[in-house]
Amino acid sequence: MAETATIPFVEDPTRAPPPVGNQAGAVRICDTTGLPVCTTAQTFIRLNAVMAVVHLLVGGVAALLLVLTRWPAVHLLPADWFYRVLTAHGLNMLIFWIIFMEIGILYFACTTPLNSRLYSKGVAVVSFALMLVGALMVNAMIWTGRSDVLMTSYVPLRAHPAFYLGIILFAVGTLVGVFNFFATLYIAKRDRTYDGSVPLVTFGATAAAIIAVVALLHGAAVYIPAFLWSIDVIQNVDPVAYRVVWWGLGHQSQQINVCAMVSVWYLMGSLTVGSKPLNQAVCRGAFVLYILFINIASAHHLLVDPAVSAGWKIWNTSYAMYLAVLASMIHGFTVPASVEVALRRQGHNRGLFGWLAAAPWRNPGFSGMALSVAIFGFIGGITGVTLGTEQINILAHNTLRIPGHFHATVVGGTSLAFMALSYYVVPLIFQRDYVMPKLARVQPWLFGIGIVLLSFGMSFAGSYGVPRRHWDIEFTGTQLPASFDASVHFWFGVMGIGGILAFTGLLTYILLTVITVFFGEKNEGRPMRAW
Amino acid sequence: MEKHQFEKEKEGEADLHEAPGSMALVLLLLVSFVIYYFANWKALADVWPVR
Amino acid sequence: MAIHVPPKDWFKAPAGFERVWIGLALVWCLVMFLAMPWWHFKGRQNSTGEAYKVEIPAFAERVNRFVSTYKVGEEAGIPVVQPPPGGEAYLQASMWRWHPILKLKAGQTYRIHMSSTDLQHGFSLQPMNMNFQVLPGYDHVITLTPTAPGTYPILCNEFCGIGHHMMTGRIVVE
Repeated sequence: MAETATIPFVEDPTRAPPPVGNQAGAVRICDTTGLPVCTTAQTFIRLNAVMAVVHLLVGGVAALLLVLTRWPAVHLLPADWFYRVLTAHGLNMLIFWIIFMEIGILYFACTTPLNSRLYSKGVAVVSFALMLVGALMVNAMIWTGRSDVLMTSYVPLRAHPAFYLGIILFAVGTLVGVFNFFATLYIAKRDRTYDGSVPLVTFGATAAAIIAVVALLHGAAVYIPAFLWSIDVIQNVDPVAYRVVWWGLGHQSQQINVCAMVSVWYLMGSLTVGSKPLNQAVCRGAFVLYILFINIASAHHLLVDPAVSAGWKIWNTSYAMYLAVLASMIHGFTVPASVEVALRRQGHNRGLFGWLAAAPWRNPGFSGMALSVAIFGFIGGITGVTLGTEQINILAHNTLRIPGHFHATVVGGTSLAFMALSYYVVPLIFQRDYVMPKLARVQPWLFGIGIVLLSFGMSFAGSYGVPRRHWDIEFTGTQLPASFDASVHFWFGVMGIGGILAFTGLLTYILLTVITVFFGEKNEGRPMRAW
Repeated sequence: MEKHQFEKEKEGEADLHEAPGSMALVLLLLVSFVIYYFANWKALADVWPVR
Repeated sequence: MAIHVPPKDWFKAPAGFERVWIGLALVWCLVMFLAMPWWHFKGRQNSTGEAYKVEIPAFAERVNRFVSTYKVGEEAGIPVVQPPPGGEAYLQASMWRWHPILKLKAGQTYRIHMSSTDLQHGFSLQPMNMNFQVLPGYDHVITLTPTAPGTYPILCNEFCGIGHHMMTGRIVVE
């Protein structure tokens, strides 16, 4: 028989019941947490989450094909399909999967913690429709071979106009969703649905939303001219200007992912061990540092470019003295520390790491979050800041070290955190308990370990000079031969095995989630089954 | 003593001794960071001079 | 908790381990920041981004003149060119080769002008693994000093179409 979930805060007697909000009836009280769920927000969290997982599947199949192609021993795809699938992988993962999930997270963060209804169903419909149409257009153009330009579409590489237009529509749809979020914050404040400051998760989501606006404005500034150029209205787009502005979209969107991921870390800490932020001022201050300083940080993609000065590179790439890196280092302490304090207060006080051993590792919501923190911090963060150092970048730019880095941050970090979140979203928002829980417990480890191996394989191969975005490191057919250190083949093997393992983890997550959404045991009227 | 207990129960008051494990973990992070960072500068110093 | 409204008086200064950690992290961030300008003045490997706007045909013309003035041989149909030590050299990136092959002297410094006649390309010199961006319309100058004799492949690591992975070049150092 299903047990009651042990979510500690439900039993907290000092917590008053939520005040009457502004939902005008379109609300249900969660059977597990006792928190109010706006039914409109719920519908659109579900829709966006489903679309997120669909695009994760497309991007994930692409990932497997790519890793089996770059592994010289396999070399699966022919050259044209390699570059095409690479384009598909980048856009479906970095843009569609992640942003659909983030819109869902935003809709959650402005409603349930604030006891508010979503501002507008109509606006949510418009947002979803634009994003969906945009994503379909972009995928159609890629898979029919009309935009083999990779995710960055650096001019003068040229794609079909519908490629640029699809991205613009998706970006506009995202902005509309972000507007719905801000409008909800406004009406919650206006209707006094909560008393005091917003909860930390909402604060983090707000930081993400602010950075999203900046990112999307850069997107408009780069994709509108690119679109006009693709239909011959504009004659020329300067490649330096394109790169500078594109990375204003490209890097800022990574910082949205960081803000969302960190907010999810705090949320998962609450849900799995009942942790509380140790010092709200510190956590919120760190989010403010993200907003203030990440918006001038795109230079680390341009460190070996011509025509941008060393001074600008140094100032910008360090996010003005690395103050945004400081923010990440702060969260890197406060997130585990809040978990540690919660567990110690529950009695797990033995030695330095007794709390860690006693943590609920069987809970995939917890293990996914913990792995995400570790992978993002130790691998993603350290490599990113180092490779983004103005001069060190000379050794790394466009080598496989770069994907080695960002698969640790955005995949091992953000995506794994979102997977961990799903282990609560599906039971609490879709109101179905997960099928095959034993498999679910293992999934974050499959995926996390796979990504670590993938990242290591890429990083070491790249340190020997192996380029990224490159179909054939044997250089067959070239007139001037070139080759790499023999150990590169070993690292490709590590990358290949890691990629296969990660794909297995990804597929497991998708299958479990999809099967549960359609066939999982409904838990309406009772708390979710405990992990 | 009662007052001290009440203050401790306020939202997550951190005590110097409350999160030593996490402190150890982030110190490990910092050490790893420093090592990786300087190893990369060393690798850079070994390639051809360029401006 | 993170999902609840915080207590009214949540604004307080960090204390204990948090304060120590924030202090340590801040110091480390400042060290990293200062490392870059320090190396800019004291270090021997930098990316200054020295560049000049150039029309594609004008750059191609300069490359041709450079090749015809200093050509000393040919390899696999590609001219081998020996610029004067301490002088200007030219390297042209196009789909899908690096033109010409440069023959340099160890210990000498050269100003290498790089540009593209079509798409963006990535100059990647092996096995030192030195990487720079090469853009059409911009003459990217790197002031380079080879340190040891040998044959050094140039790869392209910026996607430039279907022949991208066959795009190689060479620098020979005596």
